[in-house]
Amino acid sequence: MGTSERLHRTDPERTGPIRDAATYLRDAPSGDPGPASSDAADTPESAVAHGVRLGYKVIEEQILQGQQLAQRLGKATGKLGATGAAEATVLIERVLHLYKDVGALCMDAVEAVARSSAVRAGLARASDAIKAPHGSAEPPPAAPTPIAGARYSVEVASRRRLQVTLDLGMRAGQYVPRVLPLHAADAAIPALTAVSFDLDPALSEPRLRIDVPDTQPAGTYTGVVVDSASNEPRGVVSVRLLP
Amino acid sequence: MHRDGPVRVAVIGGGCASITAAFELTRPIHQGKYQVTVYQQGWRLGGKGASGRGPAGRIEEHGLHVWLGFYENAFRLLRECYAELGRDPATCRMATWRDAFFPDSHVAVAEPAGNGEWLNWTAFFPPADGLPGDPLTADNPFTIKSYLVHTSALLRTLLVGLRTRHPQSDGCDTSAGAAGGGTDVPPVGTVESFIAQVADWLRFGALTAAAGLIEAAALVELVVRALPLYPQNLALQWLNAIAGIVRGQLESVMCADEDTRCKWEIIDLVLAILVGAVRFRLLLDPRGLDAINQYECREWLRMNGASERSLNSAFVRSLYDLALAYEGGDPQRPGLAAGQAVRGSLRMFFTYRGALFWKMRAGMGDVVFAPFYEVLKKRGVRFEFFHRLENVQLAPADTLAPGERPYVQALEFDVQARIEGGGEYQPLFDVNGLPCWPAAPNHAQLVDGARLQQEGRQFESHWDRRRVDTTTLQVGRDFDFVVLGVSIGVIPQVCREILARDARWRAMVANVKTVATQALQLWLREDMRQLGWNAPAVTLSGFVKPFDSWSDMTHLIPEEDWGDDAPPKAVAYFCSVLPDPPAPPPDGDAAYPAARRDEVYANAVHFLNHHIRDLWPRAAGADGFRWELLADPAAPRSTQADAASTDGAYALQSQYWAANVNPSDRYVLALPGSLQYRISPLDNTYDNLTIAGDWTDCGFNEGCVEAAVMSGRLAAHALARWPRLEDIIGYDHP
Repeated sequence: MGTSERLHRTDPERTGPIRDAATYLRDAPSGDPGPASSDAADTPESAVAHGVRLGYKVIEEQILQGQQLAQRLGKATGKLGATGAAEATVLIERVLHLYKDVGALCMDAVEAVARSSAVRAGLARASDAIKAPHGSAEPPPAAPTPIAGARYSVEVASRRRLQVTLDLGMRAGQYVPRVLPLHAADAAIPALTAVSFDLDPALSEPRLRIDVPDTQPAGTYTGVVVDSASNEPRGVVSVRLLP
Repeated sequence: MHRDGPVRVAVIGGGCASITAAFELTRPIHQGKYQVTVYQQGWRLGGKGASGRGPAGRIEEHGLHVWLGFYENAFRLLRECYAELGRDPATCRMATWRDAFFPDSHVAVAEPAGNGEWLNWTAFFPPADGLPGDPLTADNPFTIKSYLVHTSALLRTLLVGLRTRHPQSDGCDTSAGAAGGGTDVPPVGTVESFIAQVADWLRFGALTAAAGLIEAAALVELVVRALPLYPQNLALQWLNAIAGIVRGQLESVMCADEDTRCKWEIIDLVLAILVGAVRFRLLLDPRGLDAINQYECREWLRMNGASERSLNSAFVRSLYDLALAYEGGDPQRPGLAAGQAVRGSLRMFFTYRGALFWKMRAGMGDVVFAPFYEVLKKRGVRFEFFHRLENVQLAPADTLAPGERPYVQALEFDVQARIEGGGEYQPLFDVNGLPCWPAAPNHAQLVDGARLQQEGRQFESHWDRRRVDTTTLQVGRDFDFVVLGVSIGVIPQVCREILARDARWRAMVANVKTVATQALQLWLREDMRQLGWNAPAVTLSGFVKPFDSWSDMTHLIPEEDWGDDAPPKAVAYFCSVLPDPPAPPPDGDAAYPAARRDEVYANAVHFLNHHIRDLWPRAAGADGFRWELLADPAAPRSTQADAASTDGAYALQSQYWAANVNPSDRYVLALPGSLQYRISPLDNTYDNLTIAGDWTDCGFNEGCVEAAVMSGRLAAHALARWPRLEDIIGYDHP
């Protein structure tokens, strides 16, 4: 069969993925609307590249200082006197900051791309980070105190397949929840009563516990979550017990 | 591309990539432009994801299949499939994708304790926002920012956990500034005093500082090493002394507390990745993480300061086990390309949505391939089962017009069986109301089916070449384009002409290697707690070979068809690599699959007799495994115990095991130095041919469902320019 008698593929625009951090960020996929760029003056690509290079500049600055310190140590013929120990402490502090600064800079730079209106501010922060004197060595900040109840775990004791839906109108940390019995549409069907909130000691998170008897008929059971102090309704728990 | 009438696409193979390509090409947006026919050897779709229903409706899988929470492409298409399927939730228990999959947040690794016993670590990964396949929002998870945020959060979590759980703190929270009482303090100003200070930091929980210190010191160490400023290199000696002694101190502290040590190992690895990303300038390298694919993953981590303890930790071994990353199936030859390994780890741990793992409510064939089959049938896709591709025939080079690219002229098939009445084979059957794939073909639908059954034809065996006919498809007459979705292991068999002409394809076949796997499924008459496993239902890896990975699949029992006569109380799936023989078997060695299957059986007997007690202490007695635990679907319960007690290990015959040695069944490896030989589905060297599978250069070059789906989407794009490359999630990724 000749070339004119069969169909041909059109040439692809490319044959591989874009891996380059400076260029792979772009408009959101067609099915996934994302934030639109309104800052045409600074392209995302140049901002990322600039931000990342700033990160490396921090590294190089730190390395240079470490190198200078090493030179002084060399002149001290390997003996660490009082001054050497102090400088060692400085070195330790600096290398600690090196690790932290690299991460912080990269985050700043890429975030700037995600929100192009903040590109300039992000890069300014990055520049400031280079110029700012480093403080004393200290551990990175501890994890923020968890917001109690920001996330629920669900523990189900059931031999049956079911789906649980927990819909709360307010953040759980603002009240102590209590759930009322879960009823089926048919009033003749016994309600699910072994449903409660407690605190999961392993995760320090609030936990919704549901115990479904083996004999419970299939169906959808719904109950109201209330603020245990005021008895005001706060949400709904729904259990779909599958046949 | 121009011609009136539909474009005819021949899709070869029925695995994830092929089905994805068919799904994409028949989307309503194309308005019927592509007329797709799927050609599949044997009786079922699925490839390495195929499953079948055996006796008592048992689910029999190719291996252990768990989807990861970052399989965005796979979940997105599956969700679309279920939405289009339109099953009624009131009458069908598997009506939506959420009915078909459920989140699993528990992961376990097994580690030898040194005294012949094993320690099992169970970790809970908290649910992450969203669900896999949800539309991406402004919080696109596949950015460097997102990775760094997640990495920082993980480090912080681990470090805080270390501080509060340190054994010497007596349960009290200690701070970095606390002084160490009772320590002999060396004179200020000496190296010893510095080391003592660091040791105090460690002892009293200043691990945040210590971890940063060690990695940062290692970074400076590397730079100083490259500067020949001093004859004695005193600075280097000094730094080496610090790094070495601090690591020694750290290890001695960690050894006192296994939980702390386990976390330290993960910290150590995460820091090594971060340091390596800086050292190798990966953030600026246009190749992204591919820039380090020449390195073996452990080697690269070692270069960036990871300790030997961490590199040999249960955590790392587990990742290799889950990736079946052993060349030739040899446990002594682990191999993972560093760049892809890091990419996979970042995706796995930092971009999952909903849960780290998602388990299926039934067999992968039942919850994935049956719905896709039904939807594709509704869209008008034709399925030609029992068609085994034998040759991809190229147009002779001397017939090509000037400038014309080579193309596929014909596709030659062996027809393994003809269908009674000449219609299409109907592959599904009903198990408790759910359309499922059987574990064996329905011979009643086949011409001369009884004879074929009597002859024991193995339609999925590479070594059973029997056929009832042949057929040849001609370009222009029978097809316009080809999606070659067979596995890389089949390419030497079916693409002989391409390999003879094309050095790139030869290099791909030579370098993209695969490994055989073995699988074992047990149905047990006691539940896991009775067997001595007291942790949650988990997916565990890092255990002893030959079955290093185990997943508790007890949730499947209600989906099987055991009736009311004492169904099993637990189901366990095991899998691992299966070492290759020194020389590959000849194509004529019809006995080879059975011999390897016997080998797996022997492995299973030995494993159960000698090792299972380390997972399930009460599953074995002094004489080995308690064979009476095995539930036999062919025998009523009253007779099982007697039979088992008399026949011992023979009871294992009632269970399911597999040696996945067919070229199409072998798992695709991501070995260092091999990934650049992969060819993309977008490659258009052959004018009317594209390839699809997790062996192609698909953006995520590691054997898994997500890679296969991405590849299938790329193959569809190669023919139809749809989906957009930007919509293939994670394709453009560092």
